Amino acid sequence: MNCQEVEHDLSAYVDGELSAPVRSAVDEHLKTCPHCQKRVAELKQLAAGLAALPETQPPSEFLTAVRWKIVRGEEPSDLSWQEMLFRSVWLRLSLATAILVALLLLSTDVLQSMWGRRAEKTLAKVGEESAKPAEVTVAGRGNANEPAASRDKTDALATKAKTAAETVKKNIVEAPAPASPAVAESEVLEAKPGGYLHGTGAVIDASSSSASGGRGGTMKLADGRQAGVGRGRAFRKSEAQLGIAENGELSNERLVASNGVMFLYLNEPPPAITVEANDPVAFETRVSSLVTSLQGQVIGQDNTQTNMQKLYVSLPIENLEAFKAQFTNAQMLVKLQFDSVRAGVLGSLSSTTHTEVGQTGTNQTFYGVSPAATQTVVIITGGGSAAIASDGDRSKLGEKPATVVLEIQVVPPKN
Amino acid sequence: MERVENREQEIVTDRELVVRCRGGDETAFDDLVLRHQRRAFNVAYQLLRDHEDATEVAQDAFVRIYRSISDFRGECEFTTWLHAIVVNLARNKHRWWKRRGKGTTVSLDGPVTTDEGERTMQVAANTDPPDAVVVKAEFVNLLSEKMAELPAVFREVLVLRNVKNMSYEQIAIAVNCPVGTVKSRLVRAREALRTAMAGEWS
Repeated sequence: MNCQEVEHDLSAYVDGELSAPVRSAVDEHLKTCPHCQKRVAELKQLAAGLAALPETQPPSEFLTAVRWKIVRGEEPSDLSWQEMLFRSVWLRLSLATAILVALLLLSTDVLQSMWGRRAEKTLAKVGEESAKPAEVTVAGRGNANEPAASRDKTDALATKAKTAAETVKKNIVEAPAPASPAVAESEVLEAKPGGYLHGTGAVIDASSSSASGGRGGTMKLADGRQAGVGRGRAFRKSEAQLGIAENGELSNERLVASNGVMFLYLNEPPPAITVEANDPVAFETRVSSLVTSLQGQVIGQDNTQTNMQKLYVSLPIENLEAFKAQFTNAQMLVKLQFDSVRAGVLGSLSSTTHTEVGQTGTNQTFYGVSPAATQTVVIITGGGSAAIASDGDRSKLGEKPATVVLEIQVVPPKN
Repeated sequence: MERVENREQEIVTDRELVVRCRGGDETAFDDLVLRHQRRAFNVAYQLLRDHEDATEVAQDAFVRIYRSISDFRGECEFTTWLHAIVVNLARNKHRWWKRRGKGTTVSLDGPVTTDEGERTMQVAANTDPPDAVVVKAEFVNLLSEKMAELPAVFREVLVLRNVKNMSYEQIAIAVNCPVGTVKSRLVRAREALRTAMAGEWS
């Protein structure tokens, strides 16, 4: 072999990747060739130099970050645009399906038992605070970790609320009147600045200003009150809101649906349970087993938030206190706030557990009555619109619900 | 020999963890991440030369592993699989930047070129190659700089071979090309690096 023949093999020679015959031939050549000897020495030096490149520690909390990416359903950013498109459409469809929701009626005593003093606020007080709901809802959703008191009435929030209300109003004006024949009564109402929705029920839908326009509706509750529902640009798109009005005035009771679960707020939303978890997957597993042991279940989760995962669990009301106690004691929690829970009443979303009693318009949906008949279920659905329908059995409204729903917000550790 | 045995043990442990992971054992996945995060991060860092990009790529690699662990049948070692994913994600990251005006292109088949045009192999005038391989810190530092200037495909094979000690066969899997290509690419990569390091030979 001459140098030219050998040279190409020297790299693999140094790597020990030559077959025995070739290796022997190269060995032979090297004995008499200073040129190639030098080349081998350089290759070895390169190899040694590369092996000596300093290693860097990966960032701390590497595993936590990986876990969170998994929970959020993040995809490595190397998808083709076709894949992206596919996924986003898929995401939209699933989101639209997930958005909707069930509700129930609530009895005041249940709420009192859960929220204590909050529930003591009377309707008289509701009147004077009528400017608050939008503020709390719009601003509060984005600051779920803040103590309720801190997000009370700052100017910034007030401005936000005003903006939100104006947006609602604007969109209501633009939206065609609800067309759903299944909706008992449809009425487009006024949203006043600084307030939430005003009037006998309400309609908001700013999320689809396209062809079909907005959609919404009102319904009469058994006790003579009316409720309206809608979704709006002012709110996160995964939320729908239902207002309850009495004597033409919207009370501060609102139902907020978020990814399949609807909550009733009295006056202002109590803080959700917020926990910091290193490993959201493990956390969910443990919550799930705890809830199961208390005859409840994890009914849903919301992975669409950027820095938060929400878990929804439902529990028999009599087990709520036990859940609180055990949850608080669980060692998995880094930090826990548990002043009060955001609780609501629940109707599940399954079409197999509810009787479908109507449908509203194209691409809209269904609503029904829980077979248990302790709940009136209102399901609001997507396709960019929201609709509400009563179920025809309003006599059950106001009955004490048997189930409480908790929203648990799981966030990464702060440090 | 002890080092070899440890390596064998590592492979066995990885294999067990993968099996547990596929069975739904979440802690096994955590163990895999903890065992290999440093490796994944450093390979990504050597390929991308950017702390943030490397972090993202390394983390995304584990996300991908989590999602596709059920498809992994142990055709190769876990680390080979991991490297393949890191390389792939790093390439895409690289491509992403390239579309935005950063980065360089390289022809895998053309002659080695530099800013000064095509280089032929030039041998320094030194005689008497050193017997022992001694690398000084300055040499390593310079090497690190020159590595950053190499085309990405060259960095890939160099990092996997010399930093991570992978065999040609493993590298072929990781970079998704035939073994023969790995071999010739290493020749060319080393030649490019050697040329870049001209005058720095001890």
